[in-house]
Amino acid sequence: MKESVFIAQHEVDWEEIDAFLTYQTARRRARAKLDAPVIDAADFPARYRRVCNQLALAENKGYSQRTLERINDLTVRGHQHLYAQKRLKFGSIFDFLFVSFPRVVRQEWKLFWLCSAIFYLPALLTIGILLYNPDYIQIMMDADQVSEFEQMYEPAENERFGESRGADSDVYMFGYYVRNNTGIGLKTISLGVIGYVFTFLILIFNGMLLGVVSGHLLNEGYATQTLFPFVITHGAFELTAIVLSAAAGVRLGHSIFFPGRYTRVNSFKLTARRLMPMILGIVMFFFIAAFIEAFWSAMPLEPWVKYTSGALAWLFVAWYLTFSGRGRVLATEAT
Amino acid sequence: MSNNLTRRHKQPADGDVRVETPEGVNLAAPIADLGSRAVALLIDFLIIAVLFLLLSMLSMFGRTGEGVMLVLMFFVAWTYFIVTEMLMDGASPGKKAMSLRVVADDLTPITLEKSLIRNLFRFVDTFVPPFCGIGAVIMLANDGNKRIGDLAAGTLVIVEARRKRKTLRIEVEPIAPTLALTAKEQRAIVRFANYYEQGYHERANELASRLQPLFPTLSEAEILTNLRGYGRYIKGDE
Repeated sequence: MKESVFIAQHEVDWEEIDAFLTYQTARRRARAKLDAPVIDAADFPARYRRVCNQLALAENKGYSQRTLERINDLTVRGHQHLYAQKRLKFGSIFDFLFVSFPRVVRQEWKLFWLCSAIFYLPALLTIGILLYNPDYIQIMMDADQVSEFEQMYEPAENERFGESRGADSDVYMFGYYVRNNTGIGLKTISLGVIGYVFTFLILIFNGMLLGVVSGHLLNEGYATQTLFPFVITHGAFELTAIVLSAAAGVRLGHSIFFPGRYTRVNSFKLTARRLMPMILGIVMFFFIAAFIEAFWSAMPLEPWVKYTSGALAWLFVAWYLTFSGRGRVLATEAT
Repeated sequence: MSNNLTRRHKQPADGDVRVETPEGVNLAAPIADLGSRAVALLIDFLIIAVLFLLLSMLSMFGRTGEGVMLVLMFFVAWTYFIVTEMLMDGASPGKKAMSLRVVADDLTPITLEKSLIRNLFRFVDTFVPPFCGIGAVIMLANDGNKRIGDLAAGTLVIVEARRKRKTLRIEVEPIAPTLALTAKEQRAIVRFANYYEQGYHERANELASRLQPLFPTLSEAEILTNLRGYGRYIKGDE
């Protein structure tokens, strides 16, 4: 068949399909201006397959590049429309909250405990050293910094304690925690892919920082009055989220360096996809922590109230990550 | 996890990604190059900078305003690309300006999950040295010009609109070939004639001159004209 005859024969066909695809992909407002397409949606698959045939034919006959590109572009658009993947289902929010997030954490339980150890052991060790000899604080931290956080948790000086002072700044502190902590968490996760030595270093460093502050304030005698009541409630979410981000980062890096029976890229792809609920969960935990830290932890309440809420928070986190979603079928997978 | 319905071919030299669809045809889409993606990123960063500037005006409303500002800044920094890619069919404003688009490896539209994954790794891709980001180095080292985020999510950035080619007509009179040409030879001649019309005259001359020893009586220009004429004849255009 001559190319010009071929084009003449299918011209109308292509224009109709083009109009259909333009209409289907247009936004609502733009759509109102367009004419309703001639093709019925039910006929589209058949029409699309015909274009595929024409593309194969045109390629085979050696028609000009221009014609080929025209049919090819039409086919690409048709393909995208026909095989578009399903949009988010309503049930997926429920799935994420109650099933997939805790489930992925449980799948990674070994890494979770490993990262916990790498985080908490340096903290405990540092506290131990400081309790053994309080003077070691001098080699662990600048004198300026020491006096800064001493002031921060000085019981007598302020009604509100922690970093937040005055009701007006609660929202500010919320924003500050959200931006910093969540950002650092997400960065930790993504940095894992270029070698998780950094991840471990971040964990150890932060653990030691926690230990220095706690150990020193224990020595000063503020810890049980201000520091622990302040951190205990949001710590349940924040410290867990820190450990989880490290675990996620390490897992992602590990999937690249030790892909097992997959190709490196496929192993990475699969892992990133599997960990997605966990990463969203980490963001959620950081947000909850920021909220508690800004609006609850800084409130001037009796220490025992704080300890009670703290205990409840830790119990909740432990219960949630251990039991939520066990033996459940995903709502989006149920038929 | 890779879609069994479609298969990716080995990357050809012309920078197109080729995907075989369930209908048995090969689709081709041009892969975006490092340069245009960098420009797109720059445009997006400028937009983000403007957004940050606007947000910083919230600090007029005291500490509470600053708090709201910080939360919004977090969202702009971490979800700008996700939101724009989802709302604008895979093209953030910068990509749109450069007529680029993110699609899945099988050329289907991007999903929320893929967008989340590819943009989680944007931080490592753009802010971790060497150079302006390890992503650029990774992009040069694989077939699909993919940065880490693209590899993780299984996405590709393609060029949306090809440059429009002018109507291709072979501008010589048709000449009936005197030789019996096989189908393969006919196709080669038509492709050669099309190639000439696309404006690659010098290269076409060079190719045609290779035939000189076969036709000692003809000049190079005549060989070229003959080939184009055969092409026109075989293609059968009016």
